[in-house]
Amino acid sequence: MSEKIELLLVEDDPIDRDGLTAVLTRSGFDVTTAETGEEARQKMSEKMDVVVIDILLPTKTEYREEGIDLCREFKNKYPHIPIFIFTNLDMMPLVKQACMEAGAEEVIGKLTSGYELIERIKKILGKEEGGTKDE
Amino acid sequence: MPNAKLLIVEDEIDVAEVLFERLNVEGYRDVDISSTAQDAIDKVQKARADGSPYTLALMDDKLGPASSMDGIEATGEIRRISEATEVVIITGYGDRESGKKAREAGAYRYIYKPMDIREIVTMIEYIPEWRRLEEQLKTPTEGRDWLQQLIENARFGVSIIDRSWRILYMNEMQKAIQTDIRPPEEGGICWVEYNPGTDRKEPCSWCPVKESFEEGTPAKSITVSPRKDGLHYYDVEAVPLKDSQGRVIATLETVRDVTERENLYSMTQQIQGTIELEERLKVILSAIHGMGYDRARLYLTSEDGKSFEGRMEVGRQPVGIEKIRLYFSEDGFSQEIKEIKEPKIFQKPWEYEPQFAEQLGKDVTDEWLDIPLVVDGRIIGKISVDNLISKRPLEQRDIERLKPFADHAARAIFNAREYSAIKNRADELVALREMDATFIRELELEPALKMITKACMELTDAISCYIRLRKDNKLELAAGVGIYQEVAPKVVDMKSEVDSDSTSVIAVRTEQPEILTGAPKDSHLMRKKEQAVTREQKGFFQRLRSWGAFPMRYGGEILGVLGIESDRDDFFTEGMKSLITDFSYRAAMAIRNAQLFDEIKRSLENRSKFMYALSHDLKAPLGHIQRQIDILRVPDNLNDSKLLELKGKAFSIIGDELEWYGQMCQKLLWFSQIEKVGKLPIDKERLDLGNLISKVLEIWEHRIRDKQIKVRRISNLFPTGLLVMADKTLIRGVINNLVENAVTYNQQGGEISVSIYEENNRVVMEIKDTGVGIDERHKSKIFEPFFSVDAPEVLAKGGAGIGLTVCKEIMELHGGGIDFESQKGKGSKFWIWLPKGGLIDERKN
Repeated sequence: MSEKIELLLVEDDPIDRDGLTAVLTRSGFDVTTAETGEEARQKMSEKMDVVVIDILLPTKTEYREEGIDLCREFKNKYPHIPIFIFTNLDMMPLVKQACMEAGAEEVIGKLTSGYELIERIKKILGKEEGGTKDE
Repeated sequence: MPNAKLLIVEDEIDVAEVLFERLNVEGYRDVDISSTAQDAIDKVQKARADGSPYTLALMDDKLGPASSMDGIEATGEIRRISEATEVVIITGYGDRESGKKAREAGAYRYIYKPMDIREIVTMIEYIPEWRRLEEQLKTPTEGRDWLQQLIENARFGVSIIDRSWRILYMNEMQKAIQTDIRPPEEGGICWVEYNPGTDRKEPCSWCPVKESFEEGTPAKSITVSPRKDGLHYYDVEAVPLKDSQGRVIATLETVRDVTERENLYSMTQQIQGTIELEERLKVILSAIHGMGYDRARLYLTSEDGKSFEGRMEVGRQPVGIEKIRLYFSEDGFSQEIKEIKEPKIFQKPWEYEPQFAEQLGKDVTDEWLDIPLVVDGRIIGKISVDNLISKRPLEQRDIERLKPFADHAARAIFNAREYSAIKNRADELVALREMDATFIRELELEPALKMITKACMELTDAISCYIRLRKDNKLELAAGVGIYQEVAPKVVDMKSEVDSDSTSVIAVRTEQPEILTGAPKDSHLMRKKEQAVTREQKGFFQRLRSWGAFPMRYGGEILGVLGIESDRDDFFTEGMKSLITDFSYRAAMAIRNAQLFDEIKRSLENRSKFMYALSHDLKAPLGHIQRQIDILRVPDNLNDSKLLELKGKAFSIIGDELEWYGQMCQKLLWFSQIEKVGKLPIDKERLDLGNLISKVLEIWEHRIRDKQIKVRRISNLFPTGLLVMADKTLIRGVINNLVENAVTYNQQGGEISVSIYEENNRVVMEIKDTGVGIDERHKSKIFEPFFSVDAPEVLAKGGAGIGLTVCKEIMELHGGGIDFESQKGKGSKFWIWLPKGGLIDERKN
C-alpha cells in the first residue's frame, strides 16, 4: 500500500461528513475533519495533500458562503495544495464561477458518488493507479 | 236625544207614512203629518201658541193642487210665524235656482230624494247648534272669540261647513278663491248637488272635509284647479270643530293658494334635471315666461363679474321675440346689469323699433321689471320681464313672485357654471392621465404618491393635500403637498380614542367623504394648530376654512385617504366633491398599481432566492442517500466493526432522508396548489393536538437525539382531551413544519418546549426553541411566499421558505392562525390556534 493521502474535509453536515470520511479512510486517505471555517483554519497545514470544502458553513453569527473565502485564503497561503469544492450549489453558475476565481480545482456536486470524488482527487494528484477497488 | 217635535209636510200620504215610520224607529215619537200647506201652517201656529214649537219641519217642495202654496212659500210662512222652527225642504227634482229660493225663504237645507234617514237625524240633532254658530259668526268683530278673530283676519280662504255640508261662513278671501269654481254662497252647500239626476252626494274626491267629519281629526290635501289665469294649486286643510261632548258639529276649512310655491318647486325640479349651463338657462327662461309674462330676458355677467357675457330671451310676438334666443355678444342693453342691486320696475316711453310701436298702439309705455341674480352677495346677472303685449301693469306682487325664483335661479346658474368649470378641468385631467397612463404603470409607489398629490393640488386649488395609506388599523402619512402635512400626525390609529375624531379615520370607517367646513371644530386639528411652530404653519391654520378626507377605494378595499384643505368656506361644492371622489378612485388605482409593482418586484427577488434554496433543499437529502450508497459499496471487512455499524445505519438514514424528501415534495405540492387554486381542500375531523404533536416528535426523534436536544412538554399546560375540528394531514403538516424549524434551527444541546392550552375558546399550541432566532428586519416577512432569511444561511439549515406561507394558509383555512415571537440568538416561539372543539363547524357541516 502506498503512502496515505492527507486530506482536510471541511463539512458541517454530519451525514455528509461521516459518509465521506467512511469511504475516504477506506480508500487510502488520512482524513482530518473540520465543521467550521474557524476549525479548518486551525487544522490546515503544509502537510495536507488535498482539501475538500463545502461552501455553506456556519460562522459565529450566521451561515454563509464561508467555503469560498476559505478556498481563497488557503490558495493564497498554499498555492500548490489542490482544493475541491463539494456542494449542493454545483448547478449555480455564479457560485461555480466564484469558486473557480477563488482558485478551486473543481466544483463537485454532493450527488456525485464518493468514489467519483476520490478518482478525481487522485487524477489531480497524479496517483491514478491508487488503491480503490471498483466493482 | 230624540226629544224633538217634528212635522212632516207631504201631500203623498204613503211617502209621509214611510218617513213617519222611519223616524219612529229612530226614536222620534212626537211627529205630526200635514198633507197641505195650510194645515202645516195651522199646526205650527198652534204649537207656537201652546209654547211648544216644532223643532223641525220636513217639507216637500211641491205640495200638489190641494195646497194654496208650494213648499218654498209655505217655508217662508212657517219661518215667519215660528222662528224656532227650522225647515228642511225635500225635493224629488230641483235646480240651483230652487235651492237659492229655498234658502231665501229661510229653509236650513234643501235636500234630494231619496233621503238618508241618518242624514235627517243628524240635521234634527244639530241644526239648532249650527244655527247658533252661524248667527254668532255674523255678529260684529268686537266680543268675538279667538277663532272668529282668526278667521276674520286670515290671509287665506276660510269657511265653516256643517256636517250636512251647508256653508255656515266664508271669509272674503275664500269667496275670491271660490269665484271661478262656483258662486260663493253662505247658506249654500259645499259641493254640487243641484244637478238633476244626481242621486248620490259625493264630496269632491280631493276634499279633506269629509275625512275631518268622519275621523274627527284635522285632514289635509293639495288640489289643482283651472282658473282664468291658469292652473292654481291649493293647500286645503279641514279642522273639525267639536261641541262640549266632543261631537264634531262642523269643520273649519282653510284654503291657501300655493301656486307660486308649487311652480317654484316644479321649476326647481326641472332646473335640477340638467346641470349643463345652457340647458338650465333655457329652463329658467321658459319657466318665467310660463309664469305669465309676455317676455322674459336673462342677462349674465362674465364669471369674474366684470363684463357682460350674454343674454337669452323668450317671449310672444309681435315684439320681436318668438322663441328662446341666445346672444353671446356684447349688448348695449346690458351695461346697467351691475347697477341693479334690488328688484325694480322701470318705465319709459317706447323708443325702440317703431314698427312695433305701431303694432302695439300709440303712446306705448315701455315698462319692465329687473331682478338681479345674486349669489353670496355677488351679482351674476339679472332677469328682466315685461308685459308689453297684454299691457298688464307690473306691480309689487310681481317682485314678490319672482324674487324667490330669481334667487333659486341664481344659485342654479352659479352651480352650473361651477360644474362646467370643474368638468373642463376634469376633462383636462383625464387627457393628462391618458397621456401618463403608461408612465403610471411603470411608477414605483413613492413617485406615484408624489405625482398624485401634485395633480390633486393643480386640479382643486387646495392649499394643502396629503395621502394616508392604510396599514392594518393605522393610517400612515405617505405623501403630501403644502403645510398641513408638516404638522399632521405621521400615523393615526383607527382603534385609538384620541384619533377617533380624525377626518381620515371617519372617512375610512364610514367609507364616505368626511368634510368639515367653517370654523375648525375638529379637536384633532385644533391640537395640531397648537403645535404649529413656524409662521407659515401658524398662517396656514389661520387661512384654513374647510377640509375633507376622501376614502381611496379600489376593488372593494379602502387603500387609504386623500386629504384636502382649503382656505374657502365654499370649497366643497357638490361638483367639487364628486370631482375629488372621482379623482380619489383614480389615485387609488394608481396607488394599487404601484403597490403591486413593488410587491411583484419583491416577489421576484424572493422567487430567485427560492429557486436557489429549493435547488439546495431538494438535493441535500439525495446527497445524504448517495453517502449511504457510498458506504454500502465499501467491501465488507469483518475486522472493520465501525464499517459494519455504518452499514447498519445506512438503510435507516436512507429511509429518513426519503421521508424528509417526501415532506418537501408534499409542501411543494401544497404550495403550488395554493398558488394555482387559491386554497387547499380541507377535510375536517376531530383531533387531539397533544396526540398529534407526540406523533410528529417521534418522526424527528433521530435528529433530536443527534443534536442532543431536550424536549419538554410543559405538563400543566398539556391537557389531554382538548379537541379541535381540523384536517389531520394539513395540521400535522403545520406542526411538522414548526417542529422541523425548532429542530433545524436549534443549537446542539438546545431545548424545545411544547405546550397546549385553552384560551378564549381557542386551543393554542406553542412550540418554543432555543435556536438562532429571527433577525428583527426579517420578522415582518417570514410569512411571505419564497421568503426565507438570507438565503445561504437557510440553505444550510434546509428550508426553502415555502413552509410558513403554507402553514399560515392552512391555519387561516381552519379559522385559526399562526404567530411568533423571536429574539435573535436566543430562540423563537411559534404558536398556532384553532377554534375549540369545532362544534360550530360541526353543526354547519
